[in-house]
Amino acid sequence: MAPKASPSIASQPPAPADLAASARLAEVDAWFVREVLPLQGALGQMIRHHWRHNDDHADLCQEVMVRAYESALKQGLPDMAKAFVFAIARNLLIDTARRNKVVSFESVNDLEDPLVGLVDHFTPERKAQSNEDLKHLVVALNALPARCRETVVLRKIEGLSQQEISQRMGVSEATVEKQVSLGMRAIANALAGLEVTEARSWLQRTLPFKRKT
Amino acid sequence: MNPPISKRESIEAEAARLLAVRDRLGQAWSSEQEAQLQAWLARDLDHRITWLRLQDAWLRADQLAQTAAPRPSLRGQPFWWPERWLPRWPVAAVASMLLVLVLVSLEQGRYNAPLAQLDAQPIATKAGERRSIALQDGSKVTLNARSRAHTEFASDSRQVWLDEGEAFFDVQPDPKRPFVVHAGKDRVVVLGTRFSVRRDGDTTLVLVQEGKVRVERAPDAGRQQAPLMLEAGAEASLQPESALLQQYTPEQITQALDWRQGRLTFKDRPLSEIAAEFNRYHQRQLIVDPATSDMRIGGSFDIDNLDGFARLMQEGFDLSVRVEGNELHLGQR
Repeated sequence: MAPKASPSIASQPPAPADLAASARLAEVDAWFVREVLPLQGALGQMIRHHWRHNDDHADLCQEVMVRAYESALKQGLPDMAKAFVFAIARNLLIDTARRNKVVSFESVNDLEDPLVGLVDHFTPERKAQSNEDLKHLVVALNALPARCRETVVLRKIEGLSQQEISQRMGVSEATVEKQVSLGMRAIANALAGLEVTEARSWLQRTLPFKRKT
Repeated sequence: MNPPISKRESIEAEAARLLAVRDRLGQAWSSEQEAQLQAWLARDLDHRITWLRLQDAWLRADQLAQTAAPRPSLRGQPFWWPERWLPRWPVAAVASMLLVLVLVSLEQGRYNAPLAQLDAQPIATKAGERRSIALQDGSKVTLNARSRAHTEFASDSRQVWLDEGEAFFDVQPDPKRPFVVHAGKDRVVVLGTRFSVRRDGDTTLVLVQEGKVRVERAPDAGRQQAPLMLEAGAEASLQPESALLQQYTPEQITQALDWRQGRLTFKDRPLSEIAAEFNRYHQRQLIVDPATSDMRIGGSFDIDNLDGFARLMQEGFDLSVRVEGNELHLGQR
């Protein structure tokens, strides 16, 4: 998906000394959104496949993306984003396994082999995102608690502003804003390929209000 | 008792809060707030990554508007390709059809039967058969083994239904008569190009060698799906609810279309897949023992020489070959 320029970032005139740096950041941002974010699902799959310890997956995924960004910023944009990101993931898993004595090396054994298996699994391919995205979006939307769901529906499907939503629902703007932020997180995690059940348990931990049943 | 909130989750909460504030304020988002945001983003790469991830997801959530009830959408068109369906062509004008001489194309080689005229009659190939068919407009269809198709040509449209199997199309450009291939509920629309369409169960594969085609999806559960544009080198794997796009080099595309020259070319594919491919062309079937089905093999093989392939497996890869009626069993020694 083509990254959409954020008007607010462009409207902020940076100091001349920062111009080159901020142009560089904008370039890496655009690359990251275009090339790396669509890999989240495949990356999560790869990490889950090679890392049997349940809890760390999202953290590992985040760490891979941070490293990818950092490296692209310092060493320039790589030609093959996918191979680049998966090489980072592989190194991170091996490092983590070495550092963490609890993990036996068997659990990452196949990672020590050359990338053969991985490369074959993850040849450059792109989901035609509209269909897949929409499926994930709808599933994520339906999994939201009622009030959060209604807020997202009004904002994204009906196209109302947050002010209009607060009038329509008879709640404060602060409440609408809170629901938007929660819906946004649930949707981001659904698009990243986190199981909806995970997203749901995460929501139940995070939501500030009790669900009425 | 709630589990503790991790560092990642608290960063995510802050990024989402900032985005929600900006979403609420819109134009009223002040330069002061922007400066604070930039400072927060600059403090930690974790912040920046999380912000980009949430911002992108929230933008992509605009697609939810497509699920709105069928009335003019408030959020506009699907975000990259305008909805545009072909006008319904009048059926009346089936008039000036030209007969094309049945020609033998020398370049087809020994594998292809003489070009035959394809009309409204369905045409079909059996196992091991490949046929090239000239269409009235000068376009050419090559049907792979076990395939079936029929056509309907009018003065303003050219339509082919691929009912089963695989076909390669070499389409004569004609802007006034769009060339449409129907594969199940999907349609491939072209003006002039070379591409193949293959049906496997409910999956349709579209592979473009030259030019450009547009794939129009059937509505999924009553909802319109955005068409896909495929350029040379692209392969789309279509299923009722999803589509997967891959880009290949010209060399890979040529390999994938080698069946037209009577060869099958593989690079590092499992034996089971290669056997399935051979089995499309023969009455005699290769049966692969599960223990050897993952064995990786590459090379270019003569489609018709099944025995040669089995012998190669026996001698080159030390597999056992056992003949049982119409079946060739490959297994470990």
